[in-house]
Amino acid sequence: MSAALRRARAAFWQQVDRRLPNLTRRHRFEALPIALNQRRIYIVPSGFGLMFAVMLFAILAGALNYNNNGALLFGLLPVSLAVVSMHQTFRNLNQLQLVQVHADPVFCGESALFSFHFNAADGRTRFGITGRYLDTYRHIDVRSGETRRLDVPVPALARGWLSPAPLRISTVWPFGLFFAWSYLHSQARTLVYPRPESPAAPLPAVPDAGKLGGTDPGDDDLRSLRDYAAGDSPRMIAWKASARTGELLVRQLEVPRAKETILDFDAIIGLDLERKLSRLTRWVLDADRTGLRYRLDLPGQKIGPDQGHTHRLRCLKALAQYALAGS
Amino acid sequence: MSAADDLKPLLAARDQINEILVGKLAEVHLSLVSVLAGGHLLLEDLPGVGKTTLAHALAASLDLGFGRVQFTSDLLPADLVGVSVFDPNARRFDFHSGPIFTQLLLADEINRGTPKLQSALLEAMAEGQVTVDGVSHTLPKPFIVIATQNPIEQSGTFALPESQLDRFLLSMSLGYPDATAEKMLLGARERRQAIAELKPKLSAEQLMALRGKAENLHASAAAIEYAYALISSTRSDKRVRIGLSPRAGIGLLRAAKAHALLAARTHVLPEDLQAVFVAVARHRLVLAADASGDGASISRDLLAHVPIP
Amino acid sequence: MRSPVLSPRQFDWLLIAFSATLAPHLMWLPLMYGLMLGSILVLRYVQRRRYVRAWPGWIKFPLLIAVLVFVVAEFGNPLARQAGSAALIGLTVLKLIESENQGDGLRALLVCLFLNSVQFLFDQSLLVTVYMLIPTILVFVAMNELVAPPGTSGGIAGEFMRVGKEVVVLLAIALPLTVFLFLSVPRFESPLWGTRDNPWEAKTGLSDEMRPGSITELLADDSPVMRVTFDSAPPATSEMYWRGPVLVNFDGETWRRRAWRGATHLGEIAGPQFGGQSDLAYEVMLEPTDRNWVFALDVATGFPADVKQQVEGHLLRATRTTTVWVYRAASDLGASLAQGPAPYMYRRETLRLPENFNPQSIALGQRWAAEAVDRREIVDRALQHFRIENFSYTLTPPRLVGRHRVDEFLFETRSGFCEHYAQAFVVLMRAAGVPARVVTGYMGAERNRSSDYYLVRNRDAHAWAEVLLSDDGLWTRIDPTAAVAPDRISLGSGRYDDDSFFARDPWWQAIRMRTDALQHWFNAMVVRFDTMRQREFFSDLGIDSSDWRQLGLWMAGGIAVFGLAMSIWMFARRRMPIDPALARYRSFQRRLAKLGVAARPSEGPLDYAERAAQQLPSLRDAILDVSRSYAAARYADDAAALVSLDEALRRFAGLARTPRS
Repeated sequence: MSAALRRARAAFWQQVDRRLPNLTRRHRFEALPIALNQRRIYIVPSGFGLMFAVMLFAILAGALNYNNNGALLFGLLPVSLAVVSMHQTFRNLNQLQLVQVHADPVFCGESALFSFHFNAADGRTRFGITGRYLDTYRHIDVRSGETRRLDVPVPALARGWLSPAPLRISTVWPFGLFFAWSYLHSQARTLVYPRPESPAAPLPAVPDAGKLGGTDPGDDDLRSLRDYAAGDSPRMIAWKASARTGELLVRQLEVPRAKETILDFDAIIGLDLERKLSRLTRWVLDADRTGLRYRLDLPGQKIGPDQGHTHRLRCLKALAQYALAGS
Repeated sequence: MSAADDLKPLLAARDQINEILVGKLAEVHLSLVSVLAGGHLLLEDLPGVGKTTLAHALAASLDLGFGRVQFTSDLLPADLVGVSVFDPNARRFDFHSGPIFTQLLLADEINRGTPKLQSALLEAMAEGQVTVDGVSHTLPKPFIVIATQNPIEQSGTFALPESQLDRFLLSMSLGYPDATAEKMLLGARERRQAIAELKPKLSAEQLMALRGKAENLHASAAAIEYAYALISSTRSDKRVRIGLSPRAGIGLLRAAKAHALLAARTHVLPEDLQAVFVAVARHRLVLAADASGDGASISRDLLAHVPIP
Repeated sequence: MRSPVLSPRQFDWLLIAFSATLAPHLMWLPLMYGLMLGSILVLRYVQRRRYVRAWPGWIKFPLLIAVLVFVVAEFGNPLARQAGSAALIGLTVLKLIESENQGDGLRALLVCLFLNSVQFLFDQSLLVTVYMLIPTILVFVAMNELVAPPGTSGGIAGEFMRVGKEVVVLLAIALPLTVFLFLSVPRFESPLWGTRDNPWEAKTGLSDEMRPGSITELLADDSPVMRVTFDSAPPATSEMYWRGPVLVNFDGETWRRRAWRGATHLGEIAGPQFGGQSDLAYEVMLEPTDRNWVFALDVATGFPADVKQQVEGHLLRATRTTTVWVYRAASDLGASLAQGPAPYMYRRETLRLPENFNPQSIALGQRWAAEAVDRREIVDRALQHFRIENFSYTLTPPRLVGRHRVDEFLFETRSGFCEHYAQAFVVLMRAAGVPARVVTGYMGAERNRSSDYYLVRNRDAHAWAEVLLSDDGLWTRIDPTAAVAPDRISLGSGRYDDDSFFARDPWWQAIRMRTDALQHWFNAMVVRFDTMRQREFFSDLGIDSSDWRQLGLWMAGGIAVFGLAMSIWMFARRRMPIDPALARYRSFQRRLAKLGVAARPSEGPLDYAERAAQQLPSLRDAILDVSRSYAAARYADDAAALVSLDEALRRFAGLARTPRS
């Protein structure tokens, strides 16, 4: 197909979308699961279907003109098959069900991989299902009893919630003579974290102990002594403490407490909002990687101090949503 | 309602443990589920977060005999299960039982033990008996193992093989107490002393009866279907190299039944399956090489995405 | 989107479909041409297996030229339809060697459908018609494979078990629809363009020329010419002389029809004629002969409208017979043909012999004329001559090569078949001054016992003679072959001179008859279903096909029936057996979703209820009630809970309707 034709087609559909939103039925944000049905499936002859029609017209005209009933019979048979196949094309989408949409959060500038999970609500196997997301095409078969995934990358251009555009589901099964399609626009969305600053600014210096609040690492008697257990080395027995309590106690190796730091929004000076968030994001990642305990201070909220996976996610989520309209 | 009455002592035990182990409601609950389901528990934590306390408190509250073994690379299987010693007076061999002959065994840092030692423990866990010099010795009932495993890569550890991890019904991580709980903890009396003051809330017989009840709890076809959907989701996920085994599926249902019993229900709800799924799955999933996240986060993700049939 | 490259599997299916389409055409394509195309396809298959690439131009263009040269050399006029078909087949093969993507493949499949229908220009037999189902279905299977997007399966060929039901329904609706359309599509009375001429130029069978001696073997051509059903008792097969063209002009080598020159047209009798009361009436189903000859028993007295009876007795049709044609005819078997107008001139022509040919024969004829009292005696003398002078009947006579071929036959070889005898007899008669002519046609028929009609085959072709016993008399039929081989006449061509296993085995004969009866039925039902039959069909249904409103109603009714069948099937979803509690709960979820609390698919009933109750505090109790009852009904399998679920739902519905401030 020539580029001009492609452009013309794109322009045409753009017009249709704009003026006849009901036709393309780009439902806004539906709840899952979404089962396709006759109210939202559209079907037209495909390009190949039109070629087929022209060819069959020629065959039938010739057969009738020359009164050749054999040729007529074998012109009418493909016509009948084509007509019935239209219904099958429709049925191939009907009751196809989008059960789940899933995407992991990403950083701004990356692509979020949205997984659309399909199954057949009525248990029939579907062949040749095509999903089109913008210019990305993905093809799947959905066999009975199976849930199949259709992954499309969605570029994350701004932090905050990212909702994918409508996904077009189409099929030409079984013979390619008809093209049936439907649009799916689910509530699915994912969070886009701010883009981590690069190159990274160094982490803020570790503040004095106590400034952070929280645990005082002080005397850790309780942690460093435990009951004697079979297999413990006698050298590890804390005899003094044992004498005091009357039970054998064992010294445990000292556990180093994690260092702590504060990632403070207000302490960053001279950058605009997005770049501040960008830097904070980088710091959260760095602090997490180096095993620091950290507290994220944003105007109006303080998160932590803490460490670990969950804490990191809480911080990133707060950064992603910070000062967003409508969040 | 007699079911609720039967449960009362168990719930009392739970409350008692919660007083000692502040801020770990969910974890304490899960450990009781494990005990009730007749499974063994794997704790994956750094030292010093209260694993011992939990085990101790459980044993004291449920009136179970308590034993503890610190796994090291020089510990021999005989040190664990016991040894036959020749008694010159009686002119016969006497079996001197090892620390494993107890009702609740805390196996500390199980991944520091040699594979031989690990398999001796796991055999005992699976069969409820130990065999020394060709003679089988039955372990007391109930027999519960709470094993701890240090998650940080360290030299001198022997990672448990995947097939062995399957023997643990549930696994969890206690994690650091949150700030308020930790402060409370520091202000409280010494934990060791508190444990000593714990009173048994129910007998071993009562516990065994409750176990029987949990096992016979009703799981409808719908619940089983959901359990199957969860199990099979781990098998088709690309982040997972090896999904959950059929044994894990049985364990999931067993744990869900115990969870339902603890909630004073007569049947399993999807919520019960959801409550135990992560604990059942996290240590069993073998992740793909390029998978991001760990077993727990992937299990949580699957849980959020598998629709309830 | 660029058309995707065909996968090996897709390409295989394309070749399979095309090969099945090509196969029946090989029956009429020249052998060398078929071999060439076949080997190109095999090479292409092997090459495509090894690597995916179109053949380069330096291979393609010579092949293209080879195809075109072959077609022009073999068929002459490249615009004739046979040549056109051969060229189209060749070009499609060449298209396949450069077809690498889906678009090319699909276009080739459309050409396959076209070639399938072209096949019927050459053969409309039952066997071929049934066979054509195979390429048609394969073309659709290939289409199904080709349109499958990359990474997906077409399903029909590879996973038939999963779509078998769909395919069965497809055929169960499409086949009756085809029949309905076939019956209903209005046929044209006359072609919109061109003629109905069959593009098949040279059909084997009776020709309007005779050249005895130039062929040494009469091929036993079993193909049917016509099937005849008699209204009343049929005559003996030895009485069945089906009259064809009459040959008068002889140039020493070839017998030809009399050329009507300018105004000497002798006139003809136009149809329809219905024959006399006592005449034998019958219906003939004539296979396409590509001639305008119409065969009837001698002497024809009844024949259809666009047929004219020539003065020489044979029937000619206005158009050539290109498809199976059915007509009624009547004959008076006892009658003889009268001489036409201008009898003197015609008699002169039937006495003419080429000069300086066959001196011995002419001498013999003249001697008989001198000795005989009347013409009857001359005829008897000649027949007697054939009987006593060691003449024999054979289908494999020696070739006659010399100038005087009749002499050669009469005095040397003395063996031949009907043409030799008819020729020799007529030459002798003319030499003796008896006006004589050669009549060609068919003699005899085979009765089909399974459905009681008579079958005339090409091998029943025959030649006999007619003489004028007096100048003002009638033409008398003389069959000299009967003098030599009476069995040929009494038993028919099938039994004579054929003692092979197939001819004698009764079981085999029975099978042959049944197959032919099937073909007869097929011709009657399908091939000759024309405007007239369609009118009959509609009037049997009580529909006046000339009334477009009635016809329209019929079409609309039929289409409605098929539309209904398809809709029923389309919307008949196979529902998963759904739990009654779940069904109620789903509607509850939908209601709550409208109130702003949409359920998450992975949310248990208690969690959902808790969340909903928090957001809709006024409905708290009702919501918790519903989910409790649902949980009991679905997860405790408590039958009674279904009742309380219904109650709770009603309560909830009542509360949810009342407007909340």
